[in-house]
Amino acid sequence: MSCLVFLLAAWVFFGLELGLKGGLELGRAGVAPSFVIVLLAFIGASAPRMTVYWACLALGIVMDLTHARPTPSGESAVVLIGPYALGFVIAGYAVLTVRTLVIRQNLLTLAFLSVVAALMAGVIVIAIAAVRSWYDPLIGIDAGGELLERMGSAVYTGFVALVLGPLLMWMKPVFGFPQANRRTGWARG
Amino acid sequence: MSRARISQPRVFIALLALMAVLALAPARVTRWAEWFQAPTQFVIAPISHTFSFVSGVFRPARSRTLPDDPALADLQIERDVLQSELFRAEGRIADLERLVDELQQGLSAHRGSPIIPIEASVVGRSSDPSDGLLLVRAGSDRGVEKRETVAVVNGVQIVGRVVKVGPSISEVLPITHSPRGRKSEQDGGWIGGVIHVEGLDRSWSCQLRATRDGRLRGDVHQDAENIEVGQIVRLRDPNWPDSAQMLVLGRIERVGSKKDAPLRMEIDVVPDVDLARVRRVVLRVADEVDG
Repeated sequence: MSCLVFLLAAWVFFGLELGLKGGLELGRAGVAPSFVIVLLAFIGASAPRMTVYWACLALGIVMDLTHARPTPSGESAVVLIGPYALGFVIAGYAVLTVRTLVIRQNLLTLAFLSVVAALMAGVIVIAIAAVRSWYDPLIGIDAGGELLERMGSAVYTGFVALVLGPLLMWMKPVFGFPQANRRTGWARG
Repeated sequence: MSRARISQPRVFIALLALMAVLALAPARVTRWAEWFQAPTQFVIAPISHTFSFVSGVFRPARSRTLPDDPALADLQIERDVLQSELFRAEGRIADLERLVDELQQGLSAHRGSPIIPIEASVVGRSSDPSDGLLLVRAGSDRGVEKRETVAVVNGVQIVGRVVKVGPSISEVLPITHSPRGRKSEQDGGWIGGVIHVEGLDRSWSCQLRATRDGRLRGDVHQDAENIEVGQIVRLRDPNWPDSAQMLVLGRIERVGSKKDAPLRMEIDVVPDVDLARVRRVVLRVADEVDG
């Protein structure tokens, strides 16, 4: 996969994530699609296994750096590095596992993989925040409520993947994915 | 097409382990990581601003009370600003009277500072919608300070308080953002307000807290009377900066009795605009901020 194209795509998708996501939120429910997850699922469906992991880690770290969690008092916000990085890597693992069972060139596949990735990443992020909230006074979480929001957001992300899918499929040659995945030891794909 | 040759599983696993440690380490230990946030936001801000603009065009933050005619709307904003200044001046007079009393007793008190309004565009929102933070294009380079700077729209409507400051981008937590978790149930997120009852020359205090639906809800002073739908609720909270006092929190949308204490009055307050959709804000920066 071309690093330059990946960086450019990540830049655009993070722009969508920060700039457009709020405008697409459904009412006040906190249900909004994740554009970065769609990119993650797209790369996960096509790139070699190790490349997918690296891409997920990079996207996750940037995701961690582009949001801060307000403290319970509402007077400050803290940046947590790690929850999304881990969540995205595990989401990438889920995509890699599922992709062997589906037709990769199908548009519905991208939507399905996006839903799976969004659910996995959401569960991990909530689990980490919930564990932290036991001993870190700066973190507060309503795990049940957030889980519901993220399940709704995951489905919404799937619909957005259906819209973005044709564009991503059209751009696939630019990403420079290998035609056949190489099988190399630990990075078996 | 060039292909990345990154396939070092050991490096990857080491990084993953580091992420796991950082993810679970207490926030006070990982504050250094915030240093990387400003450059990341700086890189993404130009494109997120573009998409934010597009989003604002399709789903603008429309005022619930301002008229459609721009000239009339400007006049109303000017009137509201002057009204807020009047209430603020009255509060200041009361403070000065208290100061005189304190000085007579040999004490000194913090005084209010002049306010510099800084117009800033909203370049995006936090990548995690549950955080609710707005990213605005003004930072420490323009004098924005954490907790001391508030963002307003339409002259007097409070959007929220700055909770993080970067060199060129700050993060504003809207007043309608509901804090999460058990800890916040106990002590977080309460905002003090005051309701001026026109004609009676009386005002009643209230304590409000954001609900999950973009409103503020809370108790009014137990002796309060003549509280009606449509009345303006203004901020009066010593935990908020002087520059925010007497600005508008919203209008009363519902007056009723509390579920668990029927004898107490409860109000729902709704801001004039949907604070999550504003495209531009004015940051009220104090000219001098005393430690």
